[in-house]
Amino acid sequence: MISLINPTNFNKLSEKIIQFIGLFSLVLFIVGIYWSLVIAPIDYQQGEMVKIMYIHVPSAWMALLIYSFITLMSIITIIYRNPITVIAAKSAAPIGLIFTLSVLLTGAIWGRPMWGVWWVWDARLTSVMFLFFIYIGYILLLRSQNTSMKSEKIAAIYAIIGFINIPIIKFSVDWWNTLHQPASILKIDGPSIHSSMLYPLIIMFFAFSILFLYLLLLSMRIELIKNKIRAINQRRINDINN
Amino acid sequence: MGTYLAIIKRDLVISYKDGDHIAMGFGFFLVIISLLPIGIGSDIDILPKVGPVLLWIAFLLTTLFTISRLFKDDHVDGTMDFMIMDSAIFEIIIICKVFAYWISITLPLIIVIPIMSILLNISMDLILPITFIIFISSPAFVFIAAVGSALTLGMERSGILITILILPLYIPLIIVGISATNINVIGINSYSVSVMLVSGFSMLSIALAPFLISLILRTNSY
Repeated sequence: MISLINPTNFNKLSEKIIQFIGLFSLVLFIVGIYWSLVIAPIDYQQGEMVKIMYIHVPSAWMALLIYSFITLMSIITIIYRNPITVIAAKSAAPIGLIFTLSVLLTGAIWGRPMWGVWWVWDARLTSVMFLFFIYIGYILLLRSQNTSMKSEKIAAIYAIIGFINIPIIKFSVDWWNTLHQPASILKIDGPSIHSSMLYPLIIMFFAFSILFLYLLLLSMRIELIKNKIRAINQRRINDINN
Repeated sequence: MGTYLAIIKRDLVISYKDGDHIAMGFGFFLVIISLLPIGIGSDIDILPKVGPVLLWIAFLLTTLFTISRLFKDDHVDGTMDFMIMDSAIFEIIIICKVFAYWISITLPLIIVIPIMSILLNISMDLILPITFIIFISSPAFVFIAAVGSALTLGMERSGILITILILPLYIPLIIVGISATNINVIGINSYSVSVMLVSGFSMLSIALAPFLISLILRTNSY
């Protein structure tokens, strides 16, 4: 069944849906930003600064989600050697890197007025910085070897090794005494945040994830075209040599 | 059994013949540790607090920079393919190679740590606990660095890349190890807990790392 997911089917399917996904993401962003900036209430202590949360938290979820996606694709790559999964992981990595950078930067901008410091070395911030390094390491490993097949497999193994960081990030605010706020949404007894702030947060999360889907499909289509160009060039070189 | 002993002996002979490799690791360790007291200069009270941390960092960096030679020479001249194809178990061959590396490069560093501790003005009763806990954690250091060395096998200037790739995996080890060296702050109970945790890390790495390394090296060799 995995063989049904091949580049030709992917190209046909993505050609049809990619415009709608892009448009949908745009609509979600407009709705989400208006809702979170204008309608959602301000914090009694933080004032307007709390609105950074509507970018910071969904970016964090996206960074973790994309890394889990890359790990899943890497596992499927190693087991099934399907060409699409490798391209999916390769294309998702830069997007995840930018989301991680966004978490760190928006967190620092938020932290300076709130905590008084741009950065502390507590458990969550340190482990998110490690996620940033693991993304960079993964992207560097993809380009490391001469033959792309070898480097893809090595990078896949590295992505799976690095997955240990994701539970550490998620549970770091529970396990250690950190400056960062503890979990208020993904808890066992439900979210402890008011619905007037929860709904715009969920809308922004969907906006970011549909944006990720759009960028991912675009990247994968470009990567498939690049592969075709490489194959054509290779055939031309072989013809010239023969 | 004979194969494994022969591999350990072969790796040791190669290391000691090309003595530059060991001397470079040693010299790197000494230079890094000397930089901090030189930099701090006159404020001699900071050194006992910062010294143990510097020992760990210097140990870590020396391991990461010298480990890239572990598999590279064998991979380049084709011996790695023979080791994979051989009837001996490849994972144990990897353990033998890492063990030979540990004897030739890491063990001299551990022996020199008491002298370095005196240089760093660490109090006398802390020297033996620090040496012991670095000794117990050295298998974990070496095996995790070996995973990094296997990942970056084909590349030339791989020292820096190994550092970026593997440093996140070291952090639990370093947190536990450094909290153990602060015994004068926390109390003697946390030292034994830290030793148990660190030896757990070491055994976990000896158990898991050879399988990861063999998976990566087989990928590199087809």
